[in-house]
Amino acid sequence: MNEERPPLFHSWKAWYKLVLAAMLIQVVVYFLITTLFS
Amino acid sequence: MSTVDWLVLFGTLLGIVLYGTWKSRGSKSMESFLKGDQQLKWWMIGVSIMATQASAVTFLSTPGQAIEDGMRFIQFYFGLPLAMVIISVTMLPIYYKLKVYTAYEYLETRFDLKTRTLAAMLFLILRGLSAGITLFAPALVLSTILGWNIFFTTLLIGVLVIIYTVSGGSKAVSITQRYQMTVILAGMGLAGLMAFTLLPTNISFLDSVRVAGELGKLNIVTTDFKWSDRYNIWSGLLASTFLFLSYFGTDQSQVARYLGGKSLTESRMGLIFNGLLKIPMQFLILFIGVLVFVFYLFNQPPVFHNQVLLAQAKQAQAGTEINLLENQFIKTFTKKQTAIQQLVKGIHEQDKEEIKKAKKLYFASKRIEDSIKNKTKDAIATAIPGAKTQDRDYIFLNFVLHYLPHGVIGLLLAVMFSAAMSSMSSELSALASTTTIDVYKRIIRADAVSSHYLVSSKWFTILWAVLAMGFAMLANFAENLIQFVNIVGSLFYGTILGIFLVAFYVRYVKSNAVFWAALLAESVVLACYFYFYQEIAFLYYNIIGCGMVVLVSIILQALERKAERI
Repeated sequence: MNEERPPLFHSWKAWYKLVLAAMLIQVVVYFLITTLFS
Repeated sequence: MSTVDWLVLFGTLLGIVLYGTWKSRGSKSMESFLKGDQQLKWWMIGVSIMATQASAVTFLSTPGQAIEDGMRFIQFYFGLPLAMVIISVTMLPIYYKLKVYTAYEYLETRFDLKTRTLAAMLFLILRGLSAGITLFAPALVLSTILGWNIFFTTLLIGVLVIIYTVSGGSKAVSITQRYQMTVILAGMGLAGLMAFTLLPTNISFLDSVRVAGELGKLNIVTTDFKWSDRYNIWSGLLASTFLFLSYFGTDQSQVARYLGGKSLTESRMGLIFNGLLKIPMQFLILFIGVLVFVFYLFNQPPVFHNQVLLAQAKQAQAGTEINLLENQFIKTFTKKQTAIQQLVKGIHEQDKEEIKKAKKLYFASKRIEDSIKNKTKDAIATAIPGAKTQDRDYIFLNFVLHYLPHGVIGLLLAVMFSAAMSSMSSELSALASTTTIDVYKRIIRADAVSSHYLVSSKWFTILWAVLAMGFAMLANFAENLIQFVNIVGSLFYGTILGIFLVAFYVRYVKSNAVFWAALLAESVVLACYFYFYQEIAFLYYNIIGCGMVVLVSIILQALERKAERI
């Protein structure tokens, strides 16, 4: 396996947290849009 | 369609096909044909993964879905980032470690040949059917809109895909997908911008968002739970995660995309790229649909968006009736205009009472409008027996053809064809890999030289393309196209994922238990589809299939051990 450290954060855990945080933020923002505009 | 549109359309398509064929020429071994050169960087993998998933159906159907059902379809994608993380942590390192060509090879290492073959066969059935739909969907809509024969459209897409996929294999798929995705994003971005600029000058961007929200189209997150409800936050976070775990983790059309990476790091980053960008991309496509919805609040929409079928019905015998319905539809639109103007005024003045009255008036007009639409559909069905009267998939393309400037029309049609070709090429490449590696090389002829398998892979690519084209020419689907693709996936993905989950996490379970559990689970899922279609939304088939494989295999293994002890 050609495993290297990931770019930018140098930690896979940090990347995974970013992906999940981005998803959660989007869900919250979309929920707010739904509530505000309907 | 003007000469400029034809030039843009065919220039784009031929340019991508010729460039992809030239750039990927010289695949001399089976490994380079099926895996590419394994030199892909993370962003190339990410683009390739997104291009494989986003077929023409995505761009034809999704805006129409937003117009009719609002934006809640986006919840379907909420499970995707979670699936990307799980696959990056668990499945991807194993595939890299074992240096597999296909995901199913791993199952023989873990279980036995019959389990590997079962999973490969389920994939071949599922992906073979999907390849047909991938081709059928754009062929049907584009043939109707352009007035082409569906056989010609199917052949055009199929032959173009065969040229570069057979010539360059997996590498050609990845190269062409980069340019196809560029065309798709540029085209859709331009369409969104044009839809907004076509709105009346007194309607700001915020006004259009508010109007859409008041009329129920910004229902992005819905929290009510019902087993029969297809799209809500619960089905999105739970059932979709299972669907995407199976699709990205075990479907060879996706596994091949990230196994073509330069390293495990690049492949992981490619999945992360997809996890970050997929939901925003779908949001934009749905939002374009919302803008088109707002556009049609201020501009007279047709009573039926499949204009070619409407004209045929008029010529058949329903001309007088349809003309009458069209006149009623125009009159109702005038009434609806009063409601919309009142709504905009209420929004500008922040007058809640005015907004409430306007909405009441709007929905009353809409009920009449819907009734006229249904009567028109009935008239068409009577005039042309067997005609497909679901026109949701035609709304966006009809808007493009009637309201966007020349050149942009050609570009948007190139978007649809590019999307069809990008998905289909991945699917054909994956079908050929699985047929060659998991069936032909493993079961039928194991002792041939590499060049023999290279030639076989190319022939299998052509064979699957011909089957997909045949299926597309014979198919006739009643459902909205994007939903049909997901329904077919959900019928098989749960079982396949269950097999892989047991392989990864339940070391206690051996081959016989998982094999019989998988067969039972697949039977139950098919029974759910045929007997409880209305009661259980299709996304839950993924949980049912997967859960059954895991539970039943554990029980069967326990029984087997007990029997051995006795």
